[in-house]
Amino acid sequence: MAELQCVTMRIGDELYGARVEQVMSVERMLDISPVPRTLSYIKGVANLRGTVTPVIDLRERVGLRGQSEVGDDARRIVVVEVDEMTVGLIVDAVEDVVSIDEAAVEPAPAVVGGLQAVYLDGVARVGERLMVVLNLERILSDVEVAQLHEVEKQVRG
Amino acid sequence: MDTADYLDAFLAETDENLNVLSELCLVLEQQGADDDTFAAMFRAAHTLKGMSATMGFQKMADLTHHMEDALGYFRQHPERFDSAIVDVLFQAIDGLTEHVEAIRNGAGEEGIDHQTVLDALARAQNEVAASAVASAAENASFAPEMIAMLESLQAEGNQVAVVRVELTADCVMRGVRMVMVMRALEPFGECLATSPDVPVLEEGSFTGAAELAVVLHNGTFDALRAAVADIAEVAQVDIVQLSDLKTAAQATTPTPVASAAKPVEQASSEQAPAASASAPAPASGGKQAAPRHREQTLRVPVSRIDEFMNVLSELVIARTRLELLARASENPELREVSEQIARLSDSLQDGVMSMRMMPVESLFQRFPRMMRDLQKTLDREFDFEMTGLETEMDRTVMDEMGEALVHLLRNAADHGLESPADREQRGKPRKGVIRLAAYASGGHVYLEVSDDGRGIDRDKVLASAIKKGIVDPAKAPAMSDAQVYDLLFASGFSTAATVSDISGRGVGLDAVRGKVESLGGTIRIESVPGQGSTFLIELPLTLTILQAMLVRVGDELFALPTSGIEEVARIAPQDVEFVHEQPVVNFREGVVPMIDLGAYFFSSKTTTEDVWQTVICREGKRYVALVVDDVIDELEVVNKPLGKYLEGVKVFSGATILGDGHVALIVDLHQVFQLGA
Repeated sequence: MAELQCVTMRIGDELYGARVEQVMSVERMLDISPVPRTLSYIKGVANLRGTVTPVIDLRERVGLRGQSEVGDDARRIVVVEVDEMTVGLIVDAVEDVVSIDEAAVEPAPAVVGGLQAVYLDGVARVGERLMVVLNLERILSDVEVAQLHEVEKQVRG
Repeated sequence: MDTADYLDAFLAETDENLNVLSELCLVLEQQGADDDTFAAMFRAAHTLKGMSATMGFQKMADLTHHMEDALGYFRQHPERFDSAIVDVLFQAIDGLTEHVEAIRNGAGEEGIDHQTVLDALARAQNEVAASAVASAAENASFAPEMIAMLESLQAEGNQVAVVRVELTADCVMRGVRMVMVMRALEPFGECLATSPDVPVLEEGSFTGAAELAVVLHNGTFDALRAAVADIAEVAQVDIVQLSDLKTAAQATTPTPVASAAKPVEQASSEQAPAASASAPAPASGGKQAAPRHREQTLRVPVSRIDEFMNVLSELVIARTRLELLARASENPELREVSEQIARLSDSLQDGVMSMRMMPVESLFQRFPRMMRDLQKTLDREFDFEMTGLETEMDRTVMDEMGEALVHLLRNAADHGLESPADREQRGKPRKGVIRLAAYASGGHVYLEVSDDGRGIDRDKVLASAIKKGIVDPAKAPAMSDAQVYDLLFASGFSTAATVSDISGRGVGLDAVRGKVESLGGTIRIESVPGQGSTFLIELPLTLTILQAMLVRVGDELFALPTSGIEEVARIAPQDVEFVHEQPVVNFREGVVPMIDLGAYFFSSKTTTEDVWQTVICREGKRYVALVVDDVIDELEVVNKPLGKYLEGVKVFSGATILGDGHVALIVDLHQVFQLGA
């Protein structure tokens, strides 16, 4: 039985899971310098122990509506590394590390809570709740780089 | 033995040796057979053989072994050497290169078959090879020049003699024993030469006695003999005086082919020509130059230096903080310590920076081979010259530039030069010249690729640009040559009549420019029709530390590289004019566009109460005035990459961490100019 270990993160009332092997660390909110002229969910760059690390708002990234109701003091940055990219994800809270049976991860319905199906690996039950297993490769993939180019083109006309 | 730990070192050293072989092969092709070159290649092949055998890559060891044989053979028979053999050697080098790649990719050597190359090597040497190599080591003796040198040493009062060592007939590891013999000699003195050569001795592929010319520094020759005789499987050790040796040498050396390894039976019959041969060709047997003194080097992975650099940049930040504290405090001792730490960290920084610098040679060394191959695939004849190989460049910059240079060189061969027939028709020498030059000057490194080909045809470029809609036909006549040449870098632009395999896919030059600019450099073209073109690249010496001006835009701090800043100016509102709704200002008899960074970055106009704070930047002959909220300070900053995730962000070339730990983005001024264009 293959086990899947996930760091569980909360955004609003929803639970998201990132594979534990992709999570480098969990940080308190950092001082973020905004990067002008880029996608809105890219909040900027932060000094993570001497390394300049981009930080994105996971809530915006996965397309959840509304604003976070949690103050900056309580929010956390989950630093993940995927495909040689190190990126911080802002979440409302980090809860736990859970082990789930890989077989218990069900394929995602076409659209879950506004999150496009390509960005998740599936849905699993954790206790009473449902956890969305994030596909971080997709979330941070070059599609975004292409989008950045797109933004730039628009800017330059 | 678990060899995995050594794999990286093995791969790196193999690359080096293959490069050496490749270079020397070109030397052979250009200068013909040369004993020193053969000797150097032999050593490289021998090293490769040893390393690959140790690592358990048997097929590789096998191929290098045969290369070694072939090199040994041609060294003995330089008269049989011709350019076809260079091709075979290149085949072997290519085979090895592929082999190494397979190992590097973790594929191992199962799928590799060198049989064709091995056959070619064998054919090149033909039947004589086998016996020639075997006899090469027989009845070894020293060349007359070496004996003359030994004699002069003796005349100066040194104790010189030849140690003749014979191993037992059933000795299995002859090479190992000989190495032990050489070790045993070390405490007594210096081994100046051996016959046969050291590589042959170490390999044990000789028969009969081995001779070692020794200058005694400590002890006596008797003690030396006893020490050598103590080694297992040494059958006999004789100390031969020079005078005795000389008569024997005279008899053996001067044969027409000048191999010192002629069997004695033959030597007697060839005594007559020997007397008349006044200048014998270099004999391989006794040729072993005095030990060369090399600076000791240490191989360190680049990643480790990069890590070091990272720690150091944090030190620079901490130092800045300490300086701030010291300045604020009343304690003179604290200030003194802070100044001292500043000095120390400066010199540390210089040291690590210089570690990151490497001579461009390591980048350039693959080009001669490439250019040689190009001559064969294209209908071109040219000499390829490289200068400034010792010029040092930041390793990262260099790695990034490799492909761009390959492109420019191919471009020069394919589009720059005319075909040989064409050249003759135009009254130019049939053979063209392509030059690659590197030099450093004033904080920059310059790379130049030039050819003496047809030059750039202004009209043709313009016609093509008009056809593609890049240039307005009405404006074309007024364009300067530089502007026209610049069109070549426009994306999707190619004037080549035919699309070839070598270049001319229309993606080339714009990619080259993109690469150069991403490194903070510039590229331009100089050309004289009919006489050739030069591509000139200017690159910053290093990417990691730069002088920058810290400015405030809105609530954020940004760093502007000082290299692009001309002046800081305060501009009164009445001096600002508008052209097509774009604010401009007069500066040095020109009209300079103003860009409000607040509006550009955050869509909120910079607060302007009475005067505008601007930073006037320059690129080439163009100026732009950047409007900022405040100019804070000028300081040295460490450029840290934004990382792969933010690759698409072009306006910022990186970021730096300030003394208070806050991150400030470094503005890529070149991109700002694109904007103002």
